[in-house]
Amino acid sequence: MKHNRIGIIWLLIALVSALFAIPAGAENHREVKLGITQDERSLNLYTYNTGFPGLELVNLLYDPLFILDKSNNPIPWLVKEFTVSDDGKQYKMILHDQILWQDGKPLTSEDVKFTYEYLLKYKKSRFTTPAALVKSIQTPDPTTVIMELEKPEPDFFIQPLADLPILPKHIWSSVTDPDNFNNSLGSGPFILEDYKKDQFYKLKANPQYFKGKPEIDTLVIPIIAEANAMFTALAAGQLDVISRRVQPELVKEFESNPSIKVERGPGFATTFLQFNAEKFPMSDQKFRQAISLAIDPQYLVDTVLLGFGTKGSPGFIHPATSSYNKAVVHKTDVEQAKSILEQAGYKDTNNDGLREAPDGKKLELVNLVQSNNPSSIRSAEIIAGWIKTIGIDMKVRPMDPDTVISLVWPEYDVTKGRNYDMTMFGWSTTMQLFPARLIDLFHSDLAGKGGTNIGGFKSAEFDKLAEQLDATLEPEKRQQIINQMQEQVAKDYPIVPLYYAEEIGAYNPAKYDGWVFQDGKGIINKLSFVSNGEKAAVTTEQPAATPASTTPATATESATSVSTEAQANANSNTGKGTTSIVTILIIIVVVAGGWYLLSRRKTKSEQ
Amino acid sequence: MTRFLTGKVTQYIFVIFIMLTLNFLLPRLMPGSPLAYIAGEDIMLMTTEEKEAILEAHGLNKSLLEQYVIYLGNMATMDFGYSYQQKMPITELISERLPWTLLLTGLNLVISTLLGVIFGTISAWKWGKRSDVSLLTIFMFLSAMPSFWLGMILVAIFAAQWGLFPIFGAQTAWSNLTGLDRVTDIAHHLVLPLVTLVLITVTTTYMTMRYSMLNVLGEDYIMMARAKGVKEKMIKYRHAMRNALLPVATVFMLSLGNIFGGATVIETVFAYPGIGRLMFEAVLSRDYPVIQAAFLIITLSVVIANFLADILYPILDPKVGRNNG
Repeated sequence: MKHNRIGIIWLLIALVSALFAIPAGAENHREVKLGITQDERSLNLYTYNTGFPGLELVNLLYDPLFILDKSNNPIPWLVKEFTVSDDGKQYKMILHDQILWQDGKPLTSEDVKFTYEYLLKYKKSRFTTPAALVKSIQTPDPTTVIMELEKPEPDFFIQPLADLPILPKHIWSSVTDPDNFNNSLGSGPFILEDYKKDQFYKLKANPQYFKGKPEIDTLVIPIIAEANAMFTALAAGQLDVISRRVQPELVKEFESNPSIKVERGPGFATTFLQFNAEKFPMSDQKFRQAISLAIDPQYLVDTVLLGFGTKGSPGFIHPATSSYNKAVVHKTDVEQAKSILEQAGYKDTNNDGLREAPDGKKLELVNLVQSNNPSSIRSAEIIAGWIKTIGIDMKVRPMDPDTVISLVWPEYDVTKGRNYDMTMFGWSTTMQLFPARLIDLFHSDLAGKGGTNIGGFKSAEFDKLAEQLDATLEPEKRQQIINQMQEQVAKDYPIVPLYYAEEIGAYNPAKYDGWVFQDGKGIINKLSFVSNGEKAAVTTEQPAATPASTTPATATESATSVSTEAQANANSNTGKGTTSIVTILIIIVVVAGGWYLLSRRKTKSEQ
Repeated sequence: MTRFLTGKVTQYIFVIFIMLTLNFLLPRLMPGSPLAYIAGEDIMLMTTEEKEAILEAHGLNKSLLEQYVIYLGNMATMDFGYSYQQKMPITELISERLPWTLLLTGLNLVISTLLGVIFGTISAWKWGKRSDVSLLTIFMFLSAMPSFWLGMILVAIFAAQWGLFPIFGAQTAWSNLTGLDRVTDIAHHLVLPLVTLVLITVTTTYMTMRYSMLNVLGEDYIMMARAKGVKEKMIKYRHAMRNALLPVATVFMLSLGNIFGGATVIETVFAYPGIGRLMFEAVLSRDYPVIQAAFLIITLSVVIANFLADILYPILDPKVGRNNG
């Protein structure tokens, strides 16, 4: 009886193991699994959800006229050659011959004209605003597009030209509700083969792609919202690459995994301490300066980001971009901070170790932090400690992200006021791609130019520079003004830029090793997915789009992307060994315990 | 009995009404607006008029009272509406997610109840002996473990380390498997979340069964049976276990109420496409219609399960029936 029972248990274990044994599938073609964090709906320019990776996926199915290369310079894509008139108002572009839509129909200048006009009719803010810069489009023949602009636009190559995917006229011309039109037929390197809501996308290589068939035959894109599940799946080989940025604390672990390669480089997302410049004492430039002097951004990079980042430049612009003004440097000086506060009248009148306002009132400041961002919370806590040493009390209050937004930026409209003292905030990559965005961030005209001036900051000097920049076309002159703007921001302290976290990507090189690191974006970008030949052409042919306008030059030396070869690491093996031993021990204890209980029962019943 | 039933029904209708109202108010009382999720990344570039147009289109600029009246009307006609973020009818969204949750929680309910009853009986029968103490220790240990932690440990060992099971999802959807292959694939994906859920929930049944069985074993009729020389097996299963099952039935009915929403954490850890995760995502994105529909299903199931328990209990235990009837 006893033997029977144990035999049955073993048989069951064997059966279950046999059932779940992973079949070793031999694949003739290259299939790569890319994990993304959320559903991006049907992948066309009206329906995708996020700028990253949603728009990147859209760009695998569609093509814009230009694209950004790895250093974010615009280079021609659908366009073969182009000229810009001397006054910067006319762009003449010749398309490549024989570009086909994925249903075999030719892509012509008519499609380009259609797309730009369609976007004005059915608005999609991201594309419509820049597309509206075009006054008229002529198409003298199927491959020629002539765009006339109302006024010269220095960033026209980046947006809309290198941002706006072209739609097929023969499919979209009858569509009147584009927000709910689920069609993803484009001209891009991949064709959408299958999509299951909330579960996955399946893309297959477009054999007729005008820039050559991609190296990857099938791209499977599972949707995994949970960060840990995604990282574990990559480590266990169930995913080949992930769109989620690798957390700094995981970098070492990934680097020690022989089947994973880590690729990292500058990230353009900016984290900063934002002041509400409309509220006292944050409205006092001296007060803001003192806070800034108490902060040490390099320490935050070293401790919070474990070194995987660049410290904030007080002029906002990332040091790895060509617009960066090297003369603008952050200064940390606690003693100076104290003396500035002292001189400005912030004194400790009641001897409790904390300064009061010049009118004697107690200062009770709160820093709002989004609770889903551990790095921000940790940084805010460290900053609170620093500020305390200069005699200012600041509480850190983590809150649900939506709540923070509703207090800092009600309805995403800076004219609707603000209800906070300070907040830990961040801007995404695109803000660094256009240096002219400094105007949106700091111009005092909240209803107009200062559309993202969430602190309500006002500076007549800055506004003057902004007007100058708007009126200037010549690249060198523009750069001079942008340098001055950075100096002005560094002098006024509307924000204290803390750091730019590095973009860290990880992938399985055995499955695919053709990833291209794009500054500020990482390895999930269109260049990573095109044919090797095209990749080589793009990375060697430099620069492409250099018209009479500002085009970012090559990145500075600090922009070097660091590739870390994964290597077998003794430490990780020890870690794996321990887990295995513990698990085996647990199983032995459970089996032995079970056997003991069974045998005892048997003996008792026999008695 | 009729008076009892009428009373109960009135009581539950009142509860459902309160619940519907809370269901409407709670998401709207949370700070933040669904606007950003409806508009997507465009929100930052939109003009005030464009934003107003979106609010208008979704009826979000109406007064709270107006919205409430519309909401009640929709709920009464089972019209759950359209998801702001996913841009699809909610009935469709839920009908895709529900089967996965039911598979997971349904199996869990059956397995954890069976295991709980078996081990609870063994434990009580061997009260104070080594096997009882060991079982009690194991179950106490399990009950103290947070479900996400246990889930992550199992993933780390069985999925990541040994590669025996998949880490995410309910099936390898893109492989287009059919027939037995698909069943195996689904079972393969189900093992880890199910084991985690069983380990977490089995304790309640075990504890209830053990306690109830101990009470029964102290009753006079058990002593009488022993005195009469009835076989131990007979006493254990026929006399004691049957009577001890009554409180377990209550636990079962209450767990039945959790069948639609009881696995949110597990579904999140294992990226399992169930209704719990749907609700979690909807809360994060202020997707009011989805939150309303998901909460409605979950709360209704709890209320109905309670109602069933109320009705069934007098039938299972005639003593209670007499007192109420």
